[in-house]
Amino acid sequence: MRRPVSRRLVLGAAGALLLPRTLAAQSTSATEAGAFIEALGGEALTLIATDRLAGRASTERFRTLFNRIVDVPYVARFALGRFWNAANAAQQAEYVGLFEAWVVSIYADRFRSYAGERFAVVGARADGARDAIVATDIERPGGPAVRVEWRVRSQGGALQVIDVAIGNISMARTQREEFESVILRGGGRVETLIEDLRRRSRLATAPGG
Amino acid sequence: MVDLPVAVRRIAARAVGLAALAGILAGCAAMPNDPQVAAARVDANDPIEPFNRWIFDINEGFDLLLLKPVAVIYREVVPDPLRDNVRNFLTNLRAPVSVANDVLQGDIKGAGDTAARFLVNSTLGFAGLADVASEIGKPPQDEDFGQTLAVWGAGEGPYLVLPFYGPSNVRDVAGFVVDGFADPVSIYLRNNDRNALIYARIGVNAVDARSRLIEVIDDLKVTSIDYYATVRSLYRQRRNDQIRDGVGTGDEFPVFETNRPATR
Repeated sequence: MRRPVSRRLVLGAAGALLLPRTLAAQSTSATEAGAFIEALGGEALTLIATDRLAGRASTERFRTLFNRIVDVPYVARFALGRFWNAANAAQQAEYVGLFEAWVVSIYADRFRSYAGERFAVVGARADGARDAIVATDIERPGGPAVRVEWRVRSQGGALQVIDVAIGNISMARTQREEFESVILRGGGRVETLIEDLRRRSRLATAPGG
Repeated sequence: MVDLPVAVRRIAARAVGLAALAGILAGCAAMPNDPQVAAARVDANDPIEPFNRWIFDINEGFDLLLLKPVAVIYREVVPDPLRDNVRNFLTNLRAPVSVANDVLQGDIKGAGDTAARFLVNSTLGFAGLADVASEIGKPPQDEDFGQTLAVWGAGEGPYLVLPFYGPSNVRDVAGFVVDGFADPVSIYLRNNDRNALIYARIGVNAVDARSRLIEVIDDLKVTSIDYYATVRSLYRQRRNDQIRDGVGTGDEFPVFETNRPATR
């Protein structure tokens, strides 16, 4: 069957030419995305395993690596959903900073609990116009392996993760629905969420904490 | 701000003014006319949220006092292979309902697969204790009447938290009731006055499911700002995944111009 070139496609192509390069709808190579997850995931696990002594240095190094793997500002903005535009520039900046610190601490703990376990890339495929999804199996002792899928997007020539999913349950979506709920319970004020994240950040950096 | 005709803007301004007044009168800072708030409320799909949260808290208490401790002990005391047998046995009992729902959804291949699983596991798998079918490449796929209603085009209806049972929605409650009446195992047990076995089945199912989520739920509680909202989101995403039989949503992630630092 002959498929006519859709008008949307033509318009999209025309639009892509007008957009700055970083915003153009570039596809992400599944093979490259798979290699990216394999290399950096391995690096992260090695980092955690060798630095099991924990302490500050380890967290900082994990943080640097985490930011290389994950496009944290993207995820932060996605997670704030429709309330991103309700926040002013100062709130947006503070929120992204707090979100980063919070997410890094959560994933550092998760990776620590995974330390010593192995993960393997079991597949990579293109998803939609822009992304590739890399499937990995994280093996746990005394249980079936957990299939974790990483949504990788090529932006400005660099590959970065923008979502993590288990069984088609998206962590970014879950985060967004949770944040929206926090803001709704605060009467629609973005500040409610920022205050909560601030409190968490203070607790995390408190002496002895 | 989007450009709106003057008249609309004037009405909006008046509405916002009234809403602000109403907010002050109600003694809270809510802005019911904020379109983002209204849209977020619609997305949350939880019109009886205060009531749901109340049931949720009671369920949490029940979990803390009874379900989780029993699940922890169950996992400690019962060795791994035996727990797998329990799980396999319970899954196998669900197969007739699952096959019926596959048929109702028009998924003949799914019906055939599950029926084949049931036959193989009920015989070679010693009454379902061993999941032989999975080992020969037929993993279980659970279908219920809630999923069937969704395939038929029924909307999920408002989110509900049921006592003890936990997260659900109007459609899934309907499905749950229909499956309960149609399940041949339940019919047999009811007709032979084996109600105790019906309750035992429900209880063991709950303990088994909980025992496999101990770490996951602990992690979620620690890392959630609003655990209730997290569970609500997870429930809906999981159900949608089951309805689509594991095929992704195909939703594209948006493009943002983020102020990323220069690439290293």
